[in-house]
Amino acid sequence: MLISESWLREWANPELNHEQLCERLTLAGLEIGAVLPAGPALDKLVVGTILSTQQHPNADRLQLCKVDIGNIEPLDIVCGAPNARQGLKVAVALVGSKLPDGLKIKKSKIRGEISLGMLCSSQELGLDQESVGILELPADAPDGESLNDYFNWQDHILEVELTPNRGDCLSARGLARDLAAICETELSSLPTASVVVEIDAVPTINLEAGPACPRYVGRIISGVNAAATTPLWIRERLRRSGIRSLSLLVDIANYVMLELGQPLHAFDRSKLSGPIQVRMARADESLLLLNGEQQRLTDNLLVIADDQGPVAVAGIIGGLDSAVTNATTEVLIESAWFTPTIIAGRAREMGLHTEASHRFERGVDPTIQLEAMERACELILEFGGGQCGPYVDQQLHAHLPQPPTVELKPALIGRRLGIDVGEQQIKSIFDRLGMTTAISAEHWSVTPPPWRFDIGIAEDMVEEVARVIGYDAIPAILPSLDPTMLPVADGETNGDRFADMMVDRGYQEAITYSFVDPDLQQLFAPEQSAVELINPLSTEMSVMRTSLWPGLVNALQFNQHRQHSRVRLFERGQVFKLNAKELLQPTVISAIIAGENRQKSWAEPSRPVDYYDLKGDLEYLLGATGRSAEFQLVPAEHPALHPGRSASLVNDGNPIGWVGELHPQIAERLQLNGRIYLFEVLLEPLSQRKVPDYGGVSKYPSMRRDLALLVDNEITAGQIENCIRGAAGELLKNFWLFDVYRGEELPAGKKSIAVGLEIGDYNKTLEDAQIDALISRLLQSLAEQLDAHLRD
Amino acid sequence: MADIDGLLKQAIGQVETAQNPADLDAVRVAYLGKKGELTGLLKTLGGMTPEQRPLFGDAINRAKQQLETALSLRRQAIRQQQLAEQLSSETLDVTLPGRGDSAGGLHPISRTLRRIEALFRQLGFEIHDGPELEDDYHNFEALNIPAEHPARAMHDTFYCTNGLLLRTHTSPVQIRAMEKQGPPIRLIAPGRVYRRDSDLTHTPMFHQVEGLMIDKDISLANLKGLLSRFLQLFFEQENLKTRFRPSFFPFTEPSAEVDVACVGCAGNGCRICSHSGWLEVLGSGMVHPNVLRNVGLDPQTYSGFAFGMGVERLAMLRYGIDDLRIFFDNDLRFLRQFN
Repeated sequence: MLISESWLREWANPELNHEQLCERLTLAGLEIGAVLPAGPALDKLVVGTILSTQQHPNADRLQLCKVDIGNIEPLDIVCGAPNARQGLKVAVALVGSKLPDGLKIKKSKIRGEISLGMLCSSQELGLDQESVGILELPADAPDGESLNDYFNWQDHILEVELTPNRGDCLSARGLARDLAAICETELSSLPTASVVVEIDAVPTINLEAGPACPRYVGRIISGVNAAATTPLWIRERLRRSGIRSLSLLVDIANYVMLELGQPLHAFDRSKLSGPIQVRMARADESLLLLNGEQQRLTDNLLVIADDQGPVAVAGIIGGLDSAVTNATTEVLIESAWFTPTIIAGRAREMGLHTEASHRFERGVDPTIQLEAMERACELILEFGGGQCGPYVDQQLHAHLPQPPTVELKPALIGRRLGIDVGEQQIKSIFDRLGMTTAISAEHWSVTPPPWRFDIGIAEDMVEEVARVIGYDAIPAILPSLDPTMLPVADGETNGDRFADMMVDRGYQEAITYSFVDPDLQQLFAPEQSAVELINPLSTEMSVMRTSLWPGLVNALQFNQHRQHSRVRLFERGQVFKLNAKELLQPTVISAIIAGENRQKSWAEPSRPVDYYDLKGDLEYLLGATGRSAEFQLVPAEHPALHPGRSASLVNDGNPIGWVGELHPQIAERLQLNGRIYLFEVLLEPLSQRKVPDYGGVSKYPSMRRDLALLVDNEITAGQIENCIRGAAGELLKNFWLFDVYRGEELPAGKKSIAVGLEIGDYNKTLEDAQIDALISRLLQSLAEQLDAHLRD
Repeated sequence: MADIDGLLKQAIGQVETAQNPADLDAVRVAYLGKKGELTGLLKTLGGMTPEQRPLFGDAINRAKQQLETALSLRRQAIRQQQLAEQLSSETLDVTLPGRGDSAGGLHPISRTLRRIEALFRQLGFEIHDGPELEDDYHNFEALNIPAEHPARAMHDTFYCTNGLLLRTHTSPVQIRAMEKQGPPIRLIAPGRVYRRDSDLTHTPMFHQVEGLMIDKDISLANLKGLLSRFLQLFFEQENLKTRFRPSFFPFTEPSAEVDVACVGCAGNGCRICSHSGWLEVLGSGMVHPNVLRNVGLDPQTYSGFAFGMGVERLAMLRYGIDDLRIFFDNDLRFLRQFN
C-alpha cells in the first residue's frame, strides 16, 4: 500500500522524524519497503492568478495572459490551453525553471509576443500521465506561493509492505491506529458527518447469501453533478496512493476506502431495476465487467444483482453497464461487508486483483460500513451537490463476525519470548491495541478489536506483545541442547561423496530445471509417462523430467555454442516417473561428456572421448560401494543411445542405470558437435556400501599366468571374464584383461584377447602341477562355452 | 731407487691424464696388478742384500700407496665430473605443466548448501530430504495454510495433472519428519522448491534450507540466538549485525523476518540493499500450535522454531553474484569460477 506520510501524520503524529518513523513501522511488522518523493521538487514554480486574457494577434489558438504572482508586476505569458481564463488560479513556471521532462523555461517571443514563463498542465508537472488543459488550482491558493510548499511536495510516499494478516492497516486510519498504539500517541478522529436527508428514495436490499454478506448499507443520492471536478487535495492523496483520478464519484469512493479501509461502490441508479439482491451467481450467468471483459460467472461467486441479473461481482469488481458516468445524476452507494472466505482466491481465479478484493479477502472491520457511507455522502454532497435519501442498513446479525475470546495465561508470553515481561506491561499493550481484557484468577480472557482478523489464539498475543516492545528488545540466546551424537553409517555412502568423486574426475556440477520441454523429453524417453504441469510458465518447461539427460544436453548445447568443445558435466537430482499406478521420484546422478579426453597438454596428445572414458568414470563411482563386482554392464538398447554402444547397469538383477553414446540422430537434431556420452544411475543402490570384513593376508606367494585367447568377434570381454571366474573358483585372486587385438593375420571374424591371472591358495604354495590342472580346466570351459582357444 | 721414483712419477702422470674409470683401471693393472711394474719390483728384492732389502721394500710399498691414493682421488674426480655432466644434460623446464587433468567443481549452490549443512550439523541438526512433487496436505494444509488463505497467493504454485503440486518450500519435509519422530527435533531440509514466477529476481525453481527445532521451552530468544550466530558464521563476520522484524507466515506465530547489515556497504546504504543498509535473508518464527497439533504434538508441552532461507540469495551475497538467472544456465565460464 502506498500512503503519503503527511496524511498518516494527520491521523497519528508521534515525535519521530521521517527515518525514525519508517524504522519504527518496519520494526512493528509494517515494513516500509520503499520511500518515494511525493512530487517533482521543482524550483521557481509558483501559484498565480490570470488577471486578464487577450487573443494573440498572430495565432488563433494562443492567448496573451497577464498573470499575477504576488509581490511583483504581473507577468505576460502566452498560453495555448483552452481553459486559460480570467480569474483562474494556475501553476506558473517562471523563467529559469526546469520541468520534470527537462524543458527549461526561458524568456521567449512566441509569434512576436513576449512570454515570461509558462502555465503548466498536471502532466507537465509530472503529476499525471495525461491531462487536458492547464492545471486549475483552487480559488484560495495564495499567489506567489511556491508549488513545492503549496502541494507539500517534500512529503514522502511510504510503500508499506503489509503481510496478508494485516488487512486492518490498509488505510490511513488503520495504519495510524497501529502506529499510535506502538508509539503511545493520540489517534485523530473524523468529525461527525453532517449528512442531511432531503429525499425519501430508499433502495430495497435483499441479503440472500447468508454468511457471505451479512451487512449491506445502501443509500441513494439524487441530482448529483457527476461531472464536477474532484478537488485537488483528494486527487493528490489518491495520486500519492497510486490511484488514478477518474471521476468525482469514483474518486470519493476510493478516497474513503483509503481513509477508512472500507471499499465502496457507486452504481448509476437509473441503470438498475428492482431491488438489490446479494446472492450467489448462477452458473449460466455472465457479466460485462468495468474493465471491459465479459466474465462468465460460476456459482461460487457472490454477486450484486437486480431484476435483470448480476450488476457487480461482490467485493471484487463492478459491472460496466451499471457503472457511474459523467452523465449520472442518481447514484446508489454501496458500503457492505463481505466474508473474507467468499472473496479470497476468487479474484485470482478471475485473473484480477482489485483494491476492493485485496481488502475484503483480508477482512474489513464489520462495524464501519455506516461511518464510511456517511463520510462518502458528505463528500459527494459537498463537491457534487444533490439530495440525499435515508440510508438502509441491512444486517443478518447471526452471520456477522464475532471477535473471538482468547484465553491466555500471561506467563506464556514471557516464556515464549524468553524474557521477563510484567503483567501490567502486557495489559497496557493490549489496551493500546484496542483489546478488551477480562482478568480472572486462572487466566485472562482477551477479545481483539473488530478490525483485527488475525488474532484467535494465545500465541497471537505473544506476537502482539513482542511487536510492540520490539523484537530488538528480546535477547539473542543460543538454545541449550541435550548432548547428542548423530550416527555415521559405515554401510552408506553420502550422495555428496559421489559429487566429490565426479569433481575430482574433472566434472563441473550442473543444476538444470526440473521441468523440461516435452518434445525434447520425448526423444529421450518416448515410452515413459511424465507428470505434466497444469500451469507451466511455457511449453518448454511443461513436463517434469524423467531423466536428467534433457537438461544436461541443453547445458552441453549452451556451452558448445560458446566455443567450449570439451565439456564434462554432472548433475544430481530427482526425476519423476509416472508408472502404471504410482509416481516414483528417485534421486539419480548423471553425467555427460563431449570433446577431447583430456585438457590440452604438451605431454600427451588428446583424442575425442569415447565410451570407455565415461565408463571408467562410472566404474570409479561404483568403486565407492566396495562391491564393484556386484554391478554388471549388459549390452542393451535405449531409445536415446547408439544401439551398438549402450549398456544397462544391473545390480542384483535390477536395472539401475544406463551408459552409452548419445544417438547420432539425436545429436544431429539438437545441433550438438562430436560424439557425446552419457550415463545416469540411481543413487540409492550406489549409496549402499560394503562394510569391510577382513579376510587375512596369505603368507604364500601367488603365481601369474597369461593366456592369449582367440575368440569370435561377437564374444564380449564380460563373457570371457564370467567364464574364467566361474571355472577358476577361489584360487583366482585377480583377473585382468590387458590386450584386445584384431588383425589380418588372425582368421576372419576372430579377435585375440589377452588376460592375466593371479592364482594362489591362502594356505599353501601351489605346485606347478596344480596350476597347470587349473589352467587346463579353464581352457576346457572356455572352449566349451565360448569356443575360445589358446592362440598359437 | 731411481727406478721407483721414475716409475711412480710415470704412473701418476698417467693417472692424471686418465679420462674415465677404464683408463684408471688400466693404470692400476699396469703398475699394481699381479704383473704390474711396481709389483714386479718386489720380485727383485730377493736379489738384494739384507741391508738393502727393507729399505727397498719400504720404498716400493710407499710408492704403491701413493699410487693407490692418486688413483682413488682421480676416480672420485672423474665420478664427480661425470655426474656433473649427467646432471647438466638432464635439466628440465620445470615450469611446464604437470600431467593429468585438473579437478572440476561443485555448483555454487551446492557449495553454499554444504556450508549451511556443516554449520547446523555441529549442533546436532539432522539433514532430511523429501519429495519435490508434494500433496496439498503436506505443502499447505498441515502448515496451517487452508485453501482460501491469502498466503497461498504468495506461493504461486505449479500444479500437476496427477493432483500433486511442486512444493513451494521445503517445509513439508519438516511435517514428514515430525510425523515419524518425536521431540527433541533438530533438523534442516535443504532442497529445490518451485514457484510460478520468472523475472529478473525470480526463477521458477530455486533452493531453500528450512530448519526446525522442537523441544520443551524453546523461545524466540533462542531463535534469535541461533540464527544470529549462524549468519555471523556463514558470512564470516564476527560482528555482523542482524535485525529481527515481525512478519507473517501461517505456520509460525510469532513470526520474524531476519535482516543482516548489508554485506556490500556494511549498513551504509548501497545498490545491493536498495540504500536501506539491510538485507533480508531469512524468514522464521515460533512453530504455530496448529502445526504442532497436526503432527500430534501437544503445544502446551512443546514449543519450537522454524526458519527458512533462500540459498541463491545467500550465495549471491556471499560470492557477489549479481544475476539470479545465471545459476541455471550452467555456463562453464560461470561454474569454473567456483572451483
